[in-house]
Amino acid sequence: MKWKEIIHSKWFFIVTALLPMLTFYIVFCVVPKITAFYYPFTEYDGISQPVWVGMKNFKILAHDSDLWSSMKNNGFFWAITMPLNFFIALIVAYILAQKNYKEANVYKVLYYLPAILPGVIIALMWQFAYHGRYGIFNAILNLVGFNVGEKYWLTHSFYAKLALILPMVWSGWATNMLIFMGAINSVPISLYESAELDGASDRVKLFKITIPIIWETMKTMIFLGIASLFGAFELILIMTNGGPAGATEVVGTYMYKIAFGAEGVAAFGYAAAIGLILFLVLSTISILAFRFMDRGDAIEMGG
Amino acid sequence: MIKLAKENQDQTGMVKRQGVGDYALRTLLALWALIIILPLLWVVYTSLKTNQEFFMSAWSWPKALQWDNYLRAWKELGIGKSVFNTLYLVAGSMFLNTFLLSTGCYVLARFKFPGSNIIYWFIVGSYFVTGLNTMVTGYILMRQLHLINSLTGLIAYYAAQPLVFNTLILVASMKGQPKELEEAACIDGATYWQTFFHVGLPLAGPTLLTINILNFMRFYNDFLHPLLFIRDANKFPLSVAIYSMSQAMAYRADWVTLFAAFVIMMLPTIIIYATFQKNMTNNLMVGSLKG
Repeated sequence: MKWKEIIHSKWFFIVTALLPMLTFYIVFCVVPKITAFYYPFTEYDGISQPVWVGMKNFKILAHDSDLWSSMKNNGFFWAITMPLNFFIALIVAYILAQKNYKEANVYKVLYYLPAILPGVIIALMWQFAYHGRYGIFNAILNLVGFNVGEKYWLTHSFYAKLALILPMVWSGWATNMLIFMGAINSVPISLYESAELDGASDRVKLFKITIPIIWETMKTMIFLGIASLFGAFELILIMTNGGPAGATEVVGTYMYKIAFGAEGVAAFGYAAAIGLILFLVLSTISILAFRFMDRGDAIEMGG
Repeated sequence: MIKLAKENQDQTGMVKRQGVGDYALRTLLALWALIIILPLLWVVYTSLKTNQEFFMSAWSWPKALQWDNYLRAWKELGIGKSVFNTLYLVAGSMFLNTFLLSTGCYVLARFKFPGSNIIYWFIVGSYFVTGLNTMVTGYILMRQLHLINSLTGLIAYYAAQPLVFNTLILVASMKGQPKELEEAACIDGATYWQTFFHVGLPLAGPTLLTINILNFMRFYNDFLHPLLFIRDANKFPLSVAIYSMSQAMAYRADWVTLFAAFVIMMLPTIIIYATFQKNMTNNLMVGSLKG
């Protein structure tokens, strides 16, 4: 009797309905984030118990030249792909959203297709496309007159870096395009109408009306872009595995090798320490960027 | 005349003649689409060639369509087995996530109780704690839970990952539902669970559909976690199976079959995309993303 009351009570429902989600969230989402602040201070090979070593990992980290050079690669990829993704997306989005060509929707769907493909397929497809002898990349280049013969792009330390940019932009830019299109569509038409009456050209409309209004969206996208600074990983792991000889190594692949590489003993503590450093770097950059961009806004409002 | 007007209208509704600039832009857009699609076209028509045709030239068109490349990929390369693994993994994760999500969000959205706000922000708040790399700590956790090398264990892990983002969406959607239906059910003597199943859940249908489309993409495309957590090759889902196949290609040079495997893996993604493309692209075109 009393048991039936309890089962049908509001409290029983709340607990039984909420508990599963909370439990899974805490176990699989929260715990890994919390232990990310513990393991960096240990030495842990995965077999014996973790041993507390304080700042030892960080001292080694500071002198790890491989780590710093891999961070430089992250910076390189980021510095090139982010502006490309940003501006190509902005231009195409503006054209598609403003010009109202009837085939615009077909293009939209086609452009976004690479963005939803499995990362493995993208990486493998481009890896084979870059094959010196049988790949489509050289086939096209030779066709249009750049006689590159049978250059193996991914095994060349300098060209490999450039070669990786293509698939990154190929799959990444369209997401930004969609976001921009949504923002551009939300600009009131009346603004454009009055501008047209004043004889404004497309370029003027873009810079004086569209961009200021979608500035909020642009800020969010720049933030998301910053967060992706250390994101390049899966594509590089599959296509070059950081090679040749570390030329395309990024922090993600470096961490992966330290923790899971077939180099014998795993060093989870050290890998976790790298992860923590990344977090600190990203947080610092985000906070600085936030301050910097907000100040810009204030100036605009005041002036 | 009316047809022409619609086609040539710009955003302001004014009718414009197609200038030279417009023709140039449209040509550029078409060219851009061709460039984007080209690698995919290459994979598809290569997958229907014989290996000899492939080695002859990248441009050679298949003389006869080699559909048994696909059969070979399924049987000999072992794609068939990994498809079933993927099915189990993805469907299981989608189902579990939907269950956890709908029950939890229903409570958070429709019930006021002390702590409900704290719990909500406890979940949604971690969306702002970005940048914490959980590759290593996630692996350590799964090891300690003895869930390594288990597809079921991976389902548990997968189901938890999108909880934060999906909670954000679902609670907002559920909060907007009218109270009348629930009150009616209450008057009719329905229990809380009955109300949840017959009122709350159906009302959340469209949102849950969008959420599950995103979930599907996320789980199906994932490569890193099965790579880390699954050891037995016969438990590999498609993503890792194809990767290990391509590594074996160094010794086999049976490229056309491998490309067929690529197409097989891309097929479900493309079908879902073609079906739900409006849903998926509209998701991002929210209008204005404010930090």
